[in-house]
Amino acid sequence: MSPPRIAAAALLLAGLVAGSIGDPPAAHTPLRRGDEIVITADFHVHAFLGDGTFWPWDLVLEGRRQGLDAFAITNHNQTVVARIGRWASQRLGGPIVLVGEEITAPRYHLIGVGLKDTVSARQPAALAIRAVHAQGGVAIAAHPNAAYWAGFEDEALKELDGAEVCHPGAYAKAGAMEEFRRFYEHAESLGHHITPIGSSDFHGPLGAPGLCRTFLFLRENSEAGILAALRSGRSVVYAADGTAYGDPELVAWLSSPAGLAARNPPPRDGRAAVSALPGFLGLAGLLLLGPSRTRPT
Amino acid sequence: MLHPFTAYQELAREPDPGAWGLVRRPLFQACLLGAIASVGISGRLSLRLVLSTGAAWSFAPALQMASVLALRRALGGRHVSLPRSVDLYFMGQGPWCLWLLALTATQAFVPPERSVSLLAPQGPLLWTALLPLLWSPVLTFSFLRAAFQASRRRAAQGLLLHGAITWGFVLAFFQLSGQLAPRLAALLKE
Repeated sequence: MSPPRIAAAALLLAGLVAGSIGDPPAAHTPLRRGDEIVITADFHVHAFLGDGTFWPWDLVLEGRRQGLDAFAITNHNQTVVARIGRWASQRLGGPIVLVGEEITAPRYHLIGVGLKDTVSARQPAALAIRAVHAQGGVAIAAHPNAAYWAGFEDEALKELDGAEVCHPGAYAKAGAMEEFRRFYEHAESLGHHITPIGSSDFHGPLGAPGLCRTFLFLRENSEAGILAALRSGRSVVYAADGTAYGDPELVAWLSSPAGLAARNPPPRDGRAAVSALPGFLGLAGLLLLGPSRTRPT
Repeated sequence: MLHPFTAYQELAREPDPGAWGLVRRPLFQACLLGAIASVGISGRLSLRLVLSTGAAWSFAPALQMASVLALRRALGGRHVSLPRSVDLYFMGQGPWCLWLLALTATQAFVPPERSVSLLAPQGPLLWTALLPLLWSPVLTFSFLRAAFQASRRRAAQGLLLHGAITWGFVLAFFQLSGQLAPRLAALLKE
């Protein structure tokens, strides 16, 4: 092996060692507000064996790194991987994984959370929402930009539990944040309370679980407690421009010193950069140099 | 990468790399995918994530190996050993690997909300994918001409077969993950 290749391999090894120290991350304890538990959640995450990048058990550990207390695995039109994720979460000690599905139809995308079985996408949104409710789940409009408005008739909006008001689409597409806001306000104007939701729609590797997140105020830190809080609208979400959605009293608490501690995702620690830089140089070096060639004799 | 036909002609004359040649570059590519994913989600190179995610996505290099097998059979390139064919083919994956590495660097050193916008359809990063997208077929064409000694016409046919396998797989992946049919239906309704 030539000296440049040895140097590249050594850099990669140094990056791997630095990046593996302190991995996996430790679980963290949710904050309290009087009798309530304040958790950080993400109700729209995709896993591998769907179109997500990561195995469900890796998502559990990385969700922990992002400061999430709960998240839902919501692959398109299936719930099998989410059930594997919930099993992994129970063995790894959390965060709580809820079984979900992104019910993906041509005219609407709907998140079902707290499901037992897959809900068919071959039905109007109102019927899909009823099917979610029949299983004891909660129905959330996924990234409701203008292209999907027609799929949510007023009948569906009156039965909807929540709508994503923060979604990474708002960072990627001009006008998307305004469309999410208009959808939410229109649904609320029908006289039915809609819980504001922030979700990452994380597929990986770009973005992060919890990039958009929901703060929930629970009576009980369990799957049932989370679903109850979602139904009763005990959430606060910050849109991409920082606008807060939710009960003004809860928003005020999250602006207090105690609440601010819950709001920001944990910063990446110094080891991450130490690991990433030599790792990159090593990978780039090995890529450009390639494996040793066999020379003609 | 810049003079692929000449480079492939020289490389094809090298001795057979043996069984290790069959797997070394596909393995490196699987590990690279794992590393990219690891840095993307955690900002660090974690051995756990590199191995776990690399194993998950190892089907991608495995599928490319299968496409080399199909091309070798279709173009009559059996005078070149299978390990040598696979090794030479994966050398042509350099542009995509470098692009993915650059993508990961972006993710590691800019905030996630910014990296999401860079890869959006109107973002600058997605357009840079045109470079590997356009250059990779040139490399594959040169590989087929130099390694399998295919005529221009046969190499062009091979390139079409390769495209059909690759894009067929991408479409199958989106169909199996539940995305393709609803999106196609939505497009047809528009």
